[in-house]
Amino acid sequence: MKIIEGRKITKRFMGLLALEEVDFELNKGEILGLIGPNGSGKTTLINVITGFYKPTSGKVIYKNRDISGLAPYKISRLGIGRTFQIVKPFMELSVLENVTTAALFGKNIAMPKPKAIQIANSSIEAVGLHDKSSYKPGALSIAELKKLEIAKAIALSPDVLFLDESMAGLNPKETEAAMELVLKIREQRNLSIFFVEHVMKVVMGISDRVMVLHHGRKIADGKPNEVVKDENVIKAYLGKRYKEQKNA
Amino acid sequence: MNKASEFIILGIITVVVAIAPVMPVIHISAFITRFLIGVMIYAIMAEGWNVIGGYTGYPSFGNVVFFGLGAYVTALSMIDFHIGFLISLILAAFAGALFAVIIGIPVLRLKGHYFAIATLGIGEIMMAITLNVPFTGEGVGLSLPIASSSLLFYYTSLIALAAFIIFLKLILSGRLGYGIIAVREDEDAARMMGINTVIVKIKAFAISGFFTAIAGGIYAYWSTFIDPPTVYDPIISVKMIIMAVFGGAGTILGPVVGAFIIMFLSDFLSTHFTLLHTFFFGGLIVLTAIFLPKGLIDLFSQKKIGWNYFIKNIKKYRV
Ligand SMILES: Nc1ncnc2c1ncn2[C@@H]1O[C@H](COP(=O)(O)OP(=O)(O)OP(=O)(O)O)[C@@H](O)[C@H]1O
Ligand SMILES: [Mg+2]
Repeated sequence: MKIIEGRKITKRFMGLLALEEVDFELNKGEILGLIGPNGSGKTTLINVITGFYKPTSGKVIYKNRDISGLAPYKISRLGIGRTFQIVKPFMELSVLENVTTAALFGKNIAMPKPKAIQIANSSIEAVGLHDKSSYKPGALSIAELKKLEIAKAIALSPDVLFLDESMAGLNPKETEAAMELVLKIREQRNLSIFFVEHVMKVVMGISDRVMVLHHGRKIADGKPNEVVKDENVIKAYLGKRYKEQKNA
Repeated sequence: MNKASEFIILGIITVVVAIAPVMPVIHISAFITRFLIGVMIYAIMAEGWNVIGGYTGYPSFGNVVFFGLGAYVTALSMIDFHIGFLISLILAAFAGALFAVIIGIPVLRLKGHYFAIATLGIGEIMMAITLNVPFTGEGVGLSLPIASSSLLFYYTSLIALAAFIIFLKLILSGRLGYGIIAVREDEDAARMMGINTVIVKIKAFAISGFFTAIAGGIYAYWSTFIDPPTVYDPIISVKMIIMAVFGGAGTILGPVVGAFIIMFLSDFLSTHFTLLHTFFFGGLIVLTAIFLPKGLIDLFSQKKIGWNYFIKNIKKYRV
Protein backbone atom coordinates (compact mmCIF):
# COMPACT_ATOMS: atom_id res chain seq x y z
CA MET A 1 0.00 0.00 0.00
CA LYS A 2 1.39 3.38 -1.04
CA ILE A 3 1.84 5.96 1.71
CA ILE A 4 3.49 8.67 -0.36
CA GLU A 5 4.16 9.09 -4.04
CA GLY A 6 5.48 11.64 -6.49
CA ARG A 7 3.99 12.15 -9.93
CA LYS A 8 6.13 13.66 -12.68
CA ILE A 9 8.01 15.95 -10.31
CA THR A 10 9.97 18.60 -12.16
CA LYS A 11 12.15 21.23 -10.53
CA ARG A 12 13.93 23.91 -12.46
CA PHE A 13 16.44 26.39 -11.01
CA MET A 14 16.81 29.19 -13.52
CA GLY A 15 18.41 27.38 -16.44
CA LEU A 16 19.13 24.15 -14.58
CA LEU A 17 16.71 21.25 -14.72
CA ALA A 18 17.40 19.63 -11.34
CA LEU A 19 14.52 17.14 -11.54
CA GLU A 20 12.75 16.02 -14.67
CA GLU A 21 9.40 14.23 -14.42
CA VAL A 22 10.46 12.02 -11.54
CA ASP A 23 7.91 9.44 -10.39
CA PHE A 24 8.42 7.63 -7.13
CA GLU A 25 6.40 5.75 -4.59
CA LEU A 26 7.01 4.57 -1.07
CA ASN A 27 4.93 1.79 0.42
CA LYS A 28 3.90 1.48 4.03
CA GLY A 29 6.71 -0.06 6.09
CA GLU A 30 9.12 -0.03 3.16
CA ILE A 31 12.73 1.15 3.13
CA LEU A 32 13.55 2.79 -0.17
CA GLY A 33 17.13 3.71 -1.02
CA LEU A 34 17.87 6.59 -3.37
CA ILE A 35 21.27 6.70 -5.05
CA GLY A 36 22.82 8.80 -7.79
CA PRO A 37 25.95 10.82 -8.56
CA ASN A 38 26.66 14.16 -6.86
CA GLY A 39 24.31 16.82 -8.14
CA SER A 40 21.84 14.32 -9.59
CA GLY A 41 18.95 15.87 -7.66
CA LYS A 42 18.56 13.64 -4.59
CA THR A 43 18.46 16.42 -2.00
CA THR A 44 16.33 18.53 -4.32
CA LEU A 45 13.77 15.72 -4.47
CA ILE A 46 13.59 15.59 -0.65
CA ASN A 47 13.30 19.38 -0.54
CA VAL A 48 10.37 19.30 -2.96
CA ILE A 49 8.60 16.50 -1.06
CA THR A 50 9.03 18.19 2.33
CA GLY A 51 7.91 21.61 1.08
CA PHE A 52 11.25 23.43 1.17
CA TYR A 53 11.02 23.89 -2.61
CA LYS A 54 7.86 24.21 -4.63
CA PRO A 55 7.88 21.85 -7.62
CA THR A 56 7.96 23.57 -11.01
CA SER A 57 5.38 20.97 -12.01
CA GLY A 58 4.18 17.60 -10.77
CA LYS A 59 2.50 16.43 -7.60
CA VAL A 60 3.29 14.85 -4.26
CA ILE A 61 0.47 12.71 -2.92
CA TYR A 62 0.59 11.68 0.75
CA LYS A 63 -2.14 9.50 2.22
CA ASN A 64 -4.36 10.27 -0.78
CA ARG A 65 -3.90 14.00 -0.35
CA ASP A 66 -2.08 16.43 -2.63
CA ILE A 67 0.59 18.09 -0.50
CA SER A 68 2.63 19.68 -3.28
CA GLY A 69 3.61 23.22 -2.40
CA LEU A 70 2.37 23.09 1.21
CA ALA A 71 4.55 24.94 3.74
CA PRO A 72 7.18 22.70 5.38
CA TYR A 73 5.65 23.12 8.85
CA LYS A 74 2.30 21.85 7.59
CA ILE A 75 3.91 18.87 5.91
CA SER A 76 5.81 18.12 9.12
CA ARG A 77 2.59 18.19 11.14
CA LEU A 78 1.00 15.72 8.73
CA GLY A 79 3.60 13.16 9.78
CA ILE A 80 6.56 13.60 7.46
CA GLY A 81 9.97 13.89 9.12
CA ARG A 82 13.35 14.51 7.55
CA THR A 83 17.01 14.97 8.32
CA PHE A 84 19.33 17.43 6.58
CA GLN A 85 22.41 16.35 4.67
CA ILE A 86 24.26 19.19 6.41
CA VAL A 87 23.21 18.67 10.02
CA LYS A 88 21.27 21.54 11.61
CA PRO A 89 21.51 21.22 15.39
CA PHE A 90 20.51 24.10 17.69
CA MET A 91 24.00 24.94 18.95
CA GLU A 92 22.97 26.83 22.09
CA LEU A 93 20.64 24.08 23.33
CA SER A 94 21.37 20.72 24.90
CA VAL A 95 20.63 17.47 23.10
CA LEU A 96 17.50 17.05 25.21
CA GLU A 97 16.29 20.59 24.48
CA ASN A 98 16.98 20.10 20.77
CA VAL A 99 14.86 16.99 20.65
CA THR A 100 12.19 18.39 23.00
CA THR A 101 11.64 21.26 20.59
CA ALA A 102 10.87 18.74 17.86
CA ALA A 103 8.67 16.69 20.18
CA LEU A 104 6.55 19.76 20.98
CA PHE A 105 5.69 20.24 17.32
CA GLY A 106 5.35 17.91 14.34
CA LYS A 107 2.48 15.50 14.78
CA ASN A 108 2.53 16.17 18.54
CA ILE A 109 1.51 19.80 18.18
CA ALA A 110 -1.42 19.43 20.61
CA MET A 111 0.48 17.42 23.21
CA PRO A 112 1.26 18.78 26.71
CA LYS A 113 4.91 19.45 27.52
CA PRO A 114 5.58 16.63 30.01
CA LYS A 115 4.43 14.11 27.39
CA ALA A 116 6.64 15.79 24.78
CA ILE A 117 9.67 15.51 27.07
CA GLN A 118 8.90 11.82 27.46
CA ILE A 119 8.81 11.44 23.67
CA ALA A 120 12.08 13.37 23.40
CA ASN A 121 13.74 11.08 25.92
CA SER A 122 12.57 7.94 24.18
CA SER A 123 13.79 9.29 20.82
CA ILE A 124 17.20 10.07 22.31
CA GLU A 125 17.28 6.60 23.83
CA ALA A 126 16.32 5.04 20.50
CA VAL A 127 19.33 6.54 18.71
CA GLY A 128 21.59 5.78 21.67
CA LEU A 129 22.42 9.32 22.75
CA HIS A 130 20.97 9.08 26.27
CA ASP A 131 24.30 9.50 28.02
CA LYS A 132 24.83 12.75 26.09
CA SER A 133 21.40 14.26 26.81
CA SER A 134 22.73 17.29 28.64
CA TYR A 135 25.58 17.98 26.19
CA LYS A 136 25.50 20.76 23.67
CA PRO A 137 25.98 19.78 20.01
CA GLY A 138 29.42 21.44 20.01
CA ALA A 139 30.65 18.57 22.16
CA LEU A 140 29.37 15.79 19.89
CA SER A 141 31.21 13.80 17.20
CA ILE A 142 29.97 13.68 13.61
CA ALA A 143 28.39 10.28 14.20
CA GLU A 144 26.59 11.65 17.25
CA LEU A 145 25.40 14.75 15.38
CA LYS A 146 23.91 12.50 12.71
CA LYS A 147 22.17 10.56 15.47
CA LEU A 148 20.84 13.79 16.94
CA GLU A 149 19.45 14.69 13.53
CA ILE A 150 17.61 11.35 13.44
CA ALA A 151 16.39 11.74 17.03
CA LYS A 152 14.87 15.14 16.16
CA ALA A 153 13.12 13.66 13.16
CA ILE A 154 11.62 10.67 14.96
CA ALA A 155 10.56 12.88 17.90
CA LEU A 156 8.01 14.41 15.52
CA SER A 157 6.25 11.03 15.66
CA PRO A 158 6.25 10.81 11.86
CA ASP A 159 4.81 8.10 9.65
CA VAL A 160 7.34 8.68 6.91
CA LEU A 161 11.00 9.53 7.39
CA PHE A 162 13.37 11.02 4.83
CA LEU A 163 17.05 10.55 5.63
CA ASP A 164 19.53 12.57 3.56
CA GLU A 165 22.96 10.94 3.85
CA SER A 166 22.59 10.25 7.55
CA MET A 167 25.57 7.93 7.40
CA ALA A 168 28.01 9.99 5.39
CA GLY A 169 31.29 10.54 7.22
CA LEU A 170 30.87 7.61 9.60
CA ASN A 171 33.54 4.94 10.02
CA PRO A 172 32.67 1.31 9.16
CA LYS A 173 31.76 0.41 12.75
CA GLU A 174 29.54 3.46 13.14
CA THR A 175 27.96 2.75 9.77
CA GLU A 176 27.12 -0.78 10.87
CA ALA A 177 25.44 0.58 14.01
CA ALA A 178 23.54 3.20 12.03
CA MET A 179 22.18 0.53 9.68
CA GLU A 180 20.88 -1.44 12.63
CA LEU A 181 19.38 1.76 14.01
CA VAL A 182 17.42 2.43 10.82
CA LEU A 183 16.06 -1.11 10.76
CA LYS A 184 15.18 -0.89 14.45
CA ILE A 185 13.27 2.39 14.25
CA ARG A 186 11.33 1.17 11.23
CA GLU A 187 10.31 -1.88 13.25
CA GLN A 188 9.52 -0.13 16.53
CA ARG A 189 7.87 2.95 15.13
CA ASN A 190 6.04 1.56 12.15
CA LEU A 191 7.92 3.87 9.82
CA SER A 192 8.24 4.02 6.09
CA ILE A 193 11.76 5.23 5.26
CA PHE A 194 13.19 6.95 2.19
CA PHE A 195 16.94 7.38 2.45
CA VAL A 196 19.71 8.84 0.34
CA GLU A 197 23.11 7.21 0.63
CA HIS A 198 26.36 6.86 -1.28
CA VAL A 199 27.79 3.89 0.62
CA MET A 200 26.69 0.88 -1.44
CA LYS A 201 27.11 -1.51 1.47
CA VAL A 202 24.40 0.41 3.33
CA VAL A 203 22.14 0.69 0.31
CA MET A 204 22.39 -3.04 -0.40
CA GLY A 205 22.15 -3.92 3.28
CA ILE A 206 18.91 -2.26 4.30
CA SER A 207 16.88 -1.29 1.22
CA ASP A 208 13.77 -3.19 0.20
CA ARG A 209 13.94 -1.30 -3.07
CA VAL A 210 16.41 1.07 -4.72
CA MET A 211 15.88 3.93 -7.12
CA VAL A 212 18.52 5.79 -9.09
CA LEU A 213 18.66 9.42 -10.20
CA HIS A 214 20.99 10.70 -12.90
CA HIS A 215 20.97 14.31 -14.11
CA GLY A 216 17.56 14.78 -12.50
CA ARG A 217 15.99 11.78 -14.23
CA LYS A 218 15.05 8.46 -12.73
CA ILE A 219 17.03 5.80 -14.57
CA ALA A 220 16.20 2.74 -12.48
CA ASP A 221 13.83 1.53 -9.78
CA GLY A 222 13.64 -2.01 -8.43
CA LYS A 223 15.06 -4.75 -6.22
CA PRO A 224 18.57 -3.86 -4.98
CA ASN A 225 20.31 -6.82 -6.61
CA GLU A 226 18.60 -6.09 -9.94
CA VAL A 227 19.36 -2.39 -9.90
CA VAL A 228 23.09 -2.91 -9.32
CA LYS A 229 23.20 -5.11 -12.44
CA ASP A 230 21.42 -2.51 -14.58
CA GLU A 231 23.69 -1.36 -17.38
CA ASN A 232 22.59 2.27 -17.25
CA VAL A 233 23.16 2.39 -13.50
CA ILE A 234 26.63 0.91 -13.81
CA LYS A 235 27.52 3.36 -16.55
CA ALA A 236 26.15 6.42 -14.80
CA TYR A 237 27.09 5.75 -11.22
CA LEU A 238 28.22 2.40 -9.98
CA GLY A 239 31.18 1.83 -12.26
CA LYS A 240 33.17 4.60 -10.72
CA ARG A 241 31.72 4.14 -7.23
CA TYR A 242 32.50 0.46 -6.96
CA LYS A 243 36.09 1.01 -7.94
CA GLU A 244 36.45 3.81 -5.40
CA GLN A 245 34.86 1.87 -2.59
CA LYS A 246 36.88 -1.24 -3.29
CA ASN A 247 40.13 0.68 -3.33
CA ALA A 248 39.26 2.46 -0.08
CA MET B 1 23.01 30.27 38.14
CA ASN B 2 20.55 27.58 39.21
CA LYS B 3 16.77 27.89 39.35
CA ALA B 4 16.42 28.22 43.13
CA SER B 5 19.12 30.83 43.64
CA GLU B 6 17.85 32.80 40.66
CA PHE B 7 14.38 32.80 42.22
CA ILE B 8 15.65 33.90 45.64
CA ILE B 9 17.78 36.70 44.24
CA LEU B 10 14.87 37.86 42.13
CA GLY B 11 12.58 37.82 45.17
CA ILE B 12 14.95 39.85 47.33
CA ILE B 13 15.51 42.42 44.61
CA THR B 14 11.77 42.76 44.05
CA VAL B 15 10.99 43.32 47.72
CA VAL B 16 13.78 45.84 48.21
CA VAL B 17 12.86 47.73 45.08
CA ALA B 18 9.17 47.65 45.91
CA ILE B 19 9.48 49.18 49.37
CA ALA B 20 12.47 51.42 48.78
CA PRO B 21 10.70 54.71 47.99
CA VAL B 22 8.17 54.47 50.85
CA MET B 23 10.43 53.09 53.58
CA PRO B 24 11.12 55.89 56.06
CA VAL B 25 14.32 54.13 57.15
CA ILE B 26 15.85 53.88 53.71
CA HIS B 27 14.10 57.02 52.62
CA ILE B 28 15.65 57.27 49.24
CA SER B 29 15.87 60.70 47.78
CA ALA B 30 13.78 62.09 44.96
CA PHE B 31 16.96 61.96 42.92
CA ILE B 32 17.33 58.20 43.30
CA THR B 33 13.62 57.57 42.73
CA ARG B 34 13.94 59.47 39.51
CA PHE B 35 17.01 57.50 38.53
CA LEU B 36 15.28 54.20 39.22
CA ILE B 37 12.21 55.15 37.18
CA GLY B 38 14.52 55.82 34.24
CA VAL B 39 16.25 52.48 34.80
CA MET B 40 12.97 50.58 34.87
CA ILE B 41 11.59 52.26 31.77
CA TYR B 42 14.78 51.39 29.94
CA ALA B 43 14.81 47.89 31.41
CA ILE B 44 11.35 47.28 29.92
CA MET B 45 12.60 48.49 26.54
CA ALA B 46 15.82 46.45 26.70
CA GLU B 47 13.77 43.39 27.64
CA GLY B 48 11.40 44.19 24.76
CA TRP B 49 14.34 44.29 22.38
CA ASN B 50 15.64 41.07 23.94
CA VAL B 51 12.48 39.18 22.94
CA ILE B 52 12.92 39.90 19.25
CA GLY B 53 16.70 40.49 19.08
CA GLY B 54 18.04 38.21 21.80
CA TYR B 55 15.63 35.28 21.81
CA THR B 56 14.28 35.28 18.25
CA GLY B 57 17.56 36.40 16.64
CA TYR B 58 16.10 39.33 14.71
CA PRO B 59 18.14 42.40 15.72
CA SER B 60 15.64 45.23 15.38
CA PHE B 61 17.14 48.70 15.07
CA GLY B 62 13.73 50.31 15.06
CA ASN B 63 12.15 49.33 18.37
CA VAL B 64 11.94 53.00 19.24
CA VAL B 65 8.82 53.14 17.03
CA PHE B 66 6.90 51.20 19.68
CA PHE B 67 8.21 53.55 22.36
CA GLY B 68 7.17 56.62 20.33
CA LEU B 69 3.84 55.12 19.38
CA GLY B 70 3.11 54.20 23.00
CA ALA B 71 4.02 57.71 24.09
CA TYR B 72 1.72 59.30 21.51
CA VAL B 73 -1.23 56.94 22.06
CA THR B 74 -1.04 57.52 25.82
CA ALA B 75 -0.74 61.29 25.41
CA LEU B 76 -3.59 61.61 22.89
CA SER B 77 -5.84 59.29 24.86
CA MET B 78 -5.28 61.32 28.03
CA ILE B 79 -5.43 64.78 26.44
CA ASP B 80 -8.09 64.38 23.74
CA PHE B 81 -10.28 61.67 25.24
CA HIS B 82 -9.69 62.29 28.95
CA ILE B 83 -9.09 58.61 29.50
CA GLY B 84 -7.25 57.68 32.70
CA PHE B 85 -3.52 56.94 32.68
CA LEU B 86 -3.68 53.19 33.27
CA ILE B 87 -6.34 52.55 30.63
CA SER B 88 -4.40 54.76 28.24
CA LEU B 89 -1.32 52.61 28.91
CA ILE B 90 -3.26 49.47 28.06
CA LEU B 91 -4.48 51.09 24.83
CA ALA B 92 -0.91 52.04 24.03
CA ALA B 93 0.25 48.47 24.67
CA PHE B 94 -2.28 47.01 22.24
CA ALA B 95 -1.46 49.70 19.69
CA GLY B 96 2.21 48.69 19.99
CA ALA B 97 1.41 45.00 19.51
CA LEU B 98 -0.87 45.71 16.55
CA PHE B 99 1.71 47.93 14.92
CA ALA B 100 4.33 45.20 15.40
CA VAL B 101 2.08 42.74 13.59
CA ILE B 102 1.47 45.17 10.72
CA ILE B 103 5.12 46.02 10.15
CA GLY B 104 6.28 42.52 11.09
CA ILE B 105 4.45 40.84 8.22
CA PRO B 106 6.65 42.45 5.54
CA VAL B 107 9.80 43.10 7.57
CA LEU B 108 10.22 39.75 9.33
CA ARG B 109 10.70 38.10 5.95
CA LEU B 110 14.08 39.79 5.79
CA LYS B 111 17.14 38.47 7.55
CA GLY B 112 20.34 39.91 8.98
CA HIS B 113 21.44 43.29 7.66
CA TYR B 114 18.31 43.69 5.57
CA PHE B 115 16.07 43.30 8.57
CA ALA B 116 18.19 45.73 10.60
CA ILE B 117 18.10 48.37 7.87
CA ALA B 118 14.36 47.97 7.25
CA THR B 119 13.54 48.40 10.93
CA LEU B 120 15.78 51.45 11.07
CA GLY B 121 13.77 52.92 8.19
CA ILE B 122 10.44 52.39 9.94
CA GLY B 123 11.54 54.58 12.84
CA GLU B 124 12.35 57.40 10.44
CA ILE B 125 9.02 56.98 8.63
CA MET B 126 7.04 57.17 11.89
CA MET B 127 8.90 60.32 12.90
CA ALA B 128 8.04 61.90 9.54
CA ILE B 129 4.38 60.88 9.79
CA THR B 130 3.99 62.24 13.30
CA LEU B 131 5.64 65.52 12.26
CA ASN B 132 3.06 65.99 9.52
CA VAL B 133 -0.25 64.70 10.91
CA PRO B 134 -2.36 67.50 12.48
CA PHE B 135 -3.81 65.67 15.51
CA THR B 136 -0.38 64.69 16.86
CA GLY B 137 0.56 68.31 17.43
CA GLU B 138 3.00 67.96 14.52
CA GLY B 139 6.46 69.31 15.30
CA VAL B 140 5.26 71.32 18.29
CA GLY B 141 4.72 68.29 20.44
CA LEU B 142 2.16 67.52 23.14
CA SER B 143 1.96 68.61 26.77
CA LEU B 144 0.44 66.20 29.25
CA PRO B 145 -1.13 66.93 32.63
CA ILE B 146 1.21 66.86 35.61
CA ALA B 147 0.88 63.90 37.96
CA SER B 148 0.58 64.48 41.69
CA SER B 149 3.41 62.17 42.74
CA SER B 150 6.38 60.52 41.06
CA LEU B 151 5.60 57.37 43.04
CA LEU B 152 2.90 56.67 40.44
CA PHE B 153 5.62 56.30 37.79
CA TYR B 154 7.83 54.34 40.12
CA TYR B 155 5.14 51.74 40.75
CA THR B 156 3.68 51.54 37.25
CA SER B 157 7.09 50.93 35.75
CA LEU B 158 7.94 48.43 38.49
CA ILE B 159 4.71 46.50 37.96
CA ALA B 160 5.07 46.62 34.17
CA LEU B 161 8.65 45.33 34.39
CA ALA B 162 7.75 42.59 36.86
CA ALA B 163 4.74 41.55 34.76
CA PHE B 164 6.94 41.44 31.67
CA ILE B 165 9.56 39.25 33.36
CA ILE B 166 6.96 36.82 34.69
CA PHE B 167 5.15 36.72 31.35
CA LEU B 168 8.42 36.08 29.52
CA LYS B 169 9.40 33.28 31.89
CA LEU B 170 6.05 31.59 31.28
CA ILE B 171 6.23 32.02 27.51
CA LEU B 172 9.76 30.68 27.36
CA SER B 173 8.94 27.47 29.16
CA GLY B 174 6.05 26.75 26.80
CA ARG B 175 5.63 25.78 23.15
CA LEU B 176 5.96 29.35 21.88
CA GLY B 177 9.25 29.79 23.73
CA TYR B 178 10.74 26.67 22.16
CA GLY B 179 9.53 27.91 18.79
CA ILE B 180 11.09 31.33 19.31
CA ILE B 181 14.48 29.90 20.24
CA ALA B 182 14.33 27.38 17.37
CA VAL B 183 13.82 30.27 14.94
CA ARG B 184 16.93 31.96 16.30
CA GLU B 185 19.01 28.81 16.13
CA ASP B 186 18.07 27.57 12.65
CA GLU B 187 14.98 28.53 10.74
CA ASP B 188 15.09 25.59 8.31
CA ALA B 189 15.44 23.08 11.12
CA ALA B 190 12.55 24.83 12.88
CA ARG B 191 10.32 24.55 9.81
CA MET B 192 11.18 20.88 9.43
CA MET B 193 9.97 20.39 13.00
CA GLY B 194 6.54 21.75 12.21
CA ILE B 195 7.12 25.24 13.59
CA ASN B 196 5.21 27.98 11.78
CA THR B 197 8.19 30.31 11.82
CA VAL B 198 6.28 33.27 10.36
CA ILE B 199 3.68 33.24 13.14
CA VAL B 200 6.32 32.66 15.83
CA LYS B 201 8.31 35.69 14.68
CA ILE B 202 5.22 37.89 14.50
CA LYS B 203 4.15 36.84 18.00
CA ALA B 204 7.61 37.61 19.37
CA PHE B 205 7.61 41.02 17.68
CA ALA B 206 4.11 41.72 19.04
CA ILE B 207 5.24 40.95 22.60
CA SER B 208 8.20 43.25 22.04
CA GLY B 209 5.93 46.02 20.72
CA PHE B 210 3.36 45.57 23.49
CA PHE B 211 5.75 46.16 26.39
CA THR B 212 7.93 48.74 24.65
CA ALA B 213 4.79 50.82 24.03
CA ILE B 214 3.98 50.67 27.76
CA ALA B 215 7.45 52.05 28.46
CA GLY B 216 6.69 54.87 26.00
CA GLY B 217 3.37 55.62 27.71
CA ILE B 218 4.92 55.80 31.17
CA TYR B 219 7.66 58.04 29.82
CA ALA B 220 5.15 60.41 28.16
CA TYR B 221 3.15 61.07 31.33
CA TRP B 222 6.28 61.18 33.48
CA SER B 223 8.09 63.73 31.31
CA THR B 224 4.85 65.73 30.70
CA PHE B 225 6.00 66.70 27.24
CA ILE B 226 6.71 64.74 24.07
CA ASP B 227 7.66 65.63 20.54
CA PRO B 228 8.73 63.46 17.59
CA PRO B 229 12.51 64.05 17.73
CA THR B 230 12.53 63.02 21.41
CA VAL B 231 10.38 59.88 21.36
CA TYR B 232 11.44 58.62 17.91
CA ASP B 233 15.14 59.29 18.47
CA PRO B 234 17.05 56.34 16.88
CA ILE B 235 19.58 56.59 19.73
CA ILE B 236 16.89 55.10 21.97
CA SER B 237 16.91 51.93 19.82
CA VAL B 238 20.69 51.82 20.08
CA LYS B 239 20.54 52.19 23.88
CA MET B 240 18.09 49.30 24.21
CA ILE B 241 20.42 47.10 22.20
CA ILE B 242 23.50 48.09 24.17
CA MET B 243 21.75 47.44 27.48
CA ALA B 244 20.39 44.07 26.40
CA VAL B 245 23.67 42.91 24.89
CA PHE B 246 25.82 44.30 27.71
CA GLY B 247 23.68 42.55 30.33
CA GLY B 248 23.18 39.40 28.30
CA ALA B 249 20.91 39.02 25.28
CA GLY B 250 18.86 35.86 25.25
CA THR B 251 18.65 35.73 29.06
CA ILE B 252 15.75 37.00 31.12
CA LEU B 253 17.66 39.04 33.68
CA GLY B 254 20.50 40.23 31.45
CA PRO B 255 18.70 43.25 29.96
CA VAL B 256 17.53 44.40 33.40
CA VAL B 257 21.05 44.19 34.79
CA GLY B 258 22.31 45.89 31.63
CA ALA B 259 19.82 48.76 31.93
CA PHE B 260 20.77 49.40 35.54
CA ILE B 261 24.52 49.35 35.00
CA ILE B 262 24.50 51.33 31.77
CA MET B 263 22.24 54.00 33.26
CA PHE B 264 24.41 54.17 36.37
CA LEU B 265 27.67 54.39 34.43
CA SER B 266 26.32 56.91 32.01
CA ASP B 267 25.12 59.12 34.92
CA PHE B 268 28.34 58.66 36.85
CA LEU B 269 30.64 59.26 33.91
CA SER B 270 28.78 62.30 32.68
CA THR B 271 28.92 63.99 36.10
CA HIS B 272 32.54 63.08 36.89
CA PHE B 273 34.15 63.19 33.48
CA THR B 274 32.07 65.72 31.62
CA LEU B 275 34.32 65.88 28.61
CA LEU B 276 35.62 62.34 28.44
CA HIS B 277 32.49 60.41 29.38
CA THR B 278 31.63 59.32 25.85
CA PHE B 279 35.19 58.05 25.53
CA PHE B 280 34.85 55.81 28.60
CA PHE B 281 31.37 54.77 27.64
CA GLY B 282 32.34 53.81 24.11
CA GLY B 283 35.44 52.01 25.36
CA LEU B 284 33.39 49.99 27.79
CA ILE B 285 31.06 48.83 25.03
CA VAL B 286 33.95 47.80 22.80
CA LEU B 287 35.60 45.87 25.64
CA THR B 288 32.36 44.08 26.46
CA ALA B 289 31.86 43.03 22.87
CA ILE B 290 35.37 41.55 22.86
CA PHE B 291 35.65 40.00 26.33
CA LEU B 292 32.03 39.37 27.33
CA PRO B 293 30.12 38.72 24.11
CA LYS B 294 27.44 36.85 26.03
CA GLY B 295 26.99 39.72 28.46
CA LEU B 296 27.62 40.32 32.14
CA ILE B 297 25.03 37.81 33.29
CA ASP B 298 27.07 35.02 31.72
CA LEU B 299 29.70 35.60 34.42
CA PHE B 300 27.21 34.33 37.01
CA SER B 301 26.63 31.06 35.23
CA GLN B 302 30.34 30.20 35.24
CA LYS B 303 31.69 27.94 37.95
CA LYS B 304 35.10 29.50 37.74
CA ILE B 305 36.17 32.71 36.08
CA GLY B 306 39.79 32.92 35.07
CA TRP B 307 41.76 34.09 32.09
CA ASN B 308 40.57 31.04 30.26
CA TYR B 309 37.01 32.29 30.26
CA PHE B 310 37.98 35.52 28.51
CA ILE B 311 40.37 33.83 26.12
CA LYS B 312 37.64 31.38 25.10
CA ASN B 313 35.21 34.25 24.54
CA ILE B 314 37.66 36.11 22.36
CA LYS B 315 38.30 33.07 20.24
CA LYS B 316 34.66 32.05 19.94
CA TYR B 317 33.40 35.09 18.07
CA ARG B 318 36.55 35.79 16.10
CA VAL B 319 36.26 35.36 12.35
N1 LIG C 1 18.60 26.27 -4.34
C1 LIG C 1 19.22 25.95 -5.49
N2 LIG C 1 19.44 26.88 -6.44
C2 LIG C 1 20.05 26.57 -7.60
N3 LIG C 1 20.51 25.35 -7.88
C3 LIG C 1 20.33 24.37 -6.97
C4 LIG C 1 19.68 24.62 -5.73
N4 LIG C 1 19.64 23.46 -5.03
C5 LIG C 1 20.25 22.54 -5.79
N5 LIG C 1 20.66 23.07 -6.96
C6 LIG C 1 21.32 22.36 -8.06
O1 LIG C 1 20.53 21.24 -8.41
C7 LIG C 1 21.35 20.13 -8.72
C8 LIG C 1 20.96 18.96 -7.85
O2 LIG C 1 21.45 19.23 -6.53
P1 LIG C 1 21.17 18.28 -5.30
O3 LIG C 1 21.66 18.96 -4.09
O4 LIG C 1 19.75 17.85 -5.32
O5 LIG C 1 22.11 17.04 -5.63
P2 LIG C 1 22.36 15.73 -4.77
O6 LIG C 1 21.98 14.58 -5.64
O7 LIG C 1 21.74 15.80 -3.46
O8 LIG C 1 23.95 15.74 -4.67
P3 LIG C 1 24.93 15.28 -3.47
O9 LIG C 1 25.14 13.82 -3.63
O10 LIG C 1 26.18 16.04 -3.72
O11 LIG C 1 24.27 15.63 -2.18
C9 LIG C 1 22.79 20.58 -8.55
O12 LIG C 1 23.29 20.96 -9.82
C10 LIG C 1 22.67 21.79 -7.66
O13 LIG C 1 23.71 22.70 -7.90
MG1 LIG D 1 22.41 15.87 -1.53
